[in-house]
Amino acid sequence: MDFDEFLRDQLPALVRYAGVLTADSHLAQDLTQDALVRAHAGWARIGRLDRPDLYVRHMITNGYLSWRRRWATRSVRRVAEAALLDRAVPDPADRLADRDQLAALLATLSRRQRAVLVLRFYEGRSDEEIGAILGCTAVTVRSHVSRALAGLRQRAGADQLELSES
Amino acid sequence: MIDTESLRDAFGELERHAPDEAAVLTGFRAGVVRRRRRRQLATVTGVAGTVAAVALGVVLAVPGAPGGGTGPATSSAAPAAPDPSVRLELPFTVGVPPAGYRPVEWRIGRDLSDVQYHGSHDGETVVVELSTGPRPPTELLSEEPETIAGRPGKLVRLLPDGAQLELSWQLDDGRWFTVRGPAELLSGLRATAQSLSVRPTPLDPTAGPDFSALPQGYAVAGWLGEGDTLTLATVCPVAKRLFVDCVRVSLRPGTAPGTTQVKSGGDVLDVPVDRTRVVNGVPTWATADGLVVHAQVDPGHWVRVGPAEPVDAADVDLMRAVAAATVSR
Repeated sequence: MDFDEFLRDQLPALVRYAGVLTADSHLAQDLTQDALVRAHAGWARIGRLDRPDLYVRHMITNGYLSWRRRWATRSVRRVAEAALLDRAVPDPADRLADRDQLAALLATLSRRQRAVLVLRFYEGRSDEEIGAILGCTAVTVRSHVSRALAGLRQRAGADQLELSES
Repeated sequence: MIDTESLRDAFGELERHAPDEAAVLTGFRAGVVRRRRRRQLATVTGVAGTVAAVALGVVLAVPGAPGGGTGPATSSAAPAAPDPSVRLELPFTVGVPPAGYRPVEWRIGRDLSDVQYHGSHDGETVVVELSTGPRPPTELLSEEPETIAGRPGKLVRLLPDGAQLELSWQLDDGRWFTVRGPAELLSGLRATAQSLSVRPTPLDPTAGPDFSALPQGYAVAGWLGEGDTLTLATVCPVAKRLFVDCVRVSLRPGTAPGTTQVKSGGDVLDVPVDRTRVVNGVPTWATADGLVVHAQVDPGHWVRVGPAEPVDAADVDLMRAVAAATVSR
């Protein structure tokens, strides 16, 4: 598969993944672009992989994990200037209360735990695929999923949460 | 009850944060070009450059990519034709401003220009806008036809309660006028709408800096000001429109300070701007991370340049060049 074909096949899913992972369209755009530029530069190698789609997700995910770490220490946007130019996106009026609650809970997870849950429950990836994306074993993936769900249960209250780990 | 399906729903709802594919492709293509230029600057052999150009041609042929096509790479790899900067003038004239309101802020851009008026009470805001497309209908509560300046338009009441409304109509050239404000001001909004024309309103050119010496390939993409005072200018690459690669320039009176305030977590910190480099004879100073640049453009004015979007790394050389090219008038 050449890079042209890869883009045509994978771009819609990649932007959705980045958007769900980050919950920030600007960041998602930056991470996707950055990953694609680097993937293009290394396509002679990446294109020969069995699953280049997983590898590009690995790049996006790594960008997300490291970006947060760097960004936490430095932000240069002046609040006043940002407020002048930003346009707020209104929340859908019909958003469900439990969805709000769950979104808030997801935001409390660690970045890695959030990534694991996105890959498992949004993308429906297997443990092996998630391991390939995160650079860990399937056993470690299951541990991350288990801890992430335990964290959600703890925060939500065990009686309100019935989550399957498979 | 929150269950596995709700978790999937919650993630599915977050799909709205997925960036626009065309914008991603645009930024990606620009990133490939930048990468190739860096390699050329690093005196990589001509053979390697040719390989990169051929590879780029494949990428640029992706269907749906703005500016992309099925042709050879050479046309896209060639230097972009100069694109004139957005002029420091409102592209429309408001004949009858809303009574009792005063203009407080204006923005001028390629795709959107507007003027915001404030009334005497909080929340009393009227916006007159000229855009290349209609506003997305996400805030729509109800819509009814309305004839505006002899043209078919619409009167839209906005969520959540219809207290705000919009009058909008399309011009012959495809652009849209929109007047947005409080519902109780409907007759005044209609009068303002009827009075709009596409005759530009020149602004005081001395309000803004002279950007006639910007680095090649860059142009002013937008202006923002309050009253008679220019607040910000946005300088972007001509070849593409992606905001994340733009820099924001503000010209300020006085002497360039040796520090700048940045937000870190919930705190505002004073960070030294002390990394000096002379660009085209103009001393410039940058923060250690290269995210803020200052320059003294004349004895009475200094300029602050930073990324237009929050980023963790920026092209400090570009920001220094823009700062050095900024001349007060």
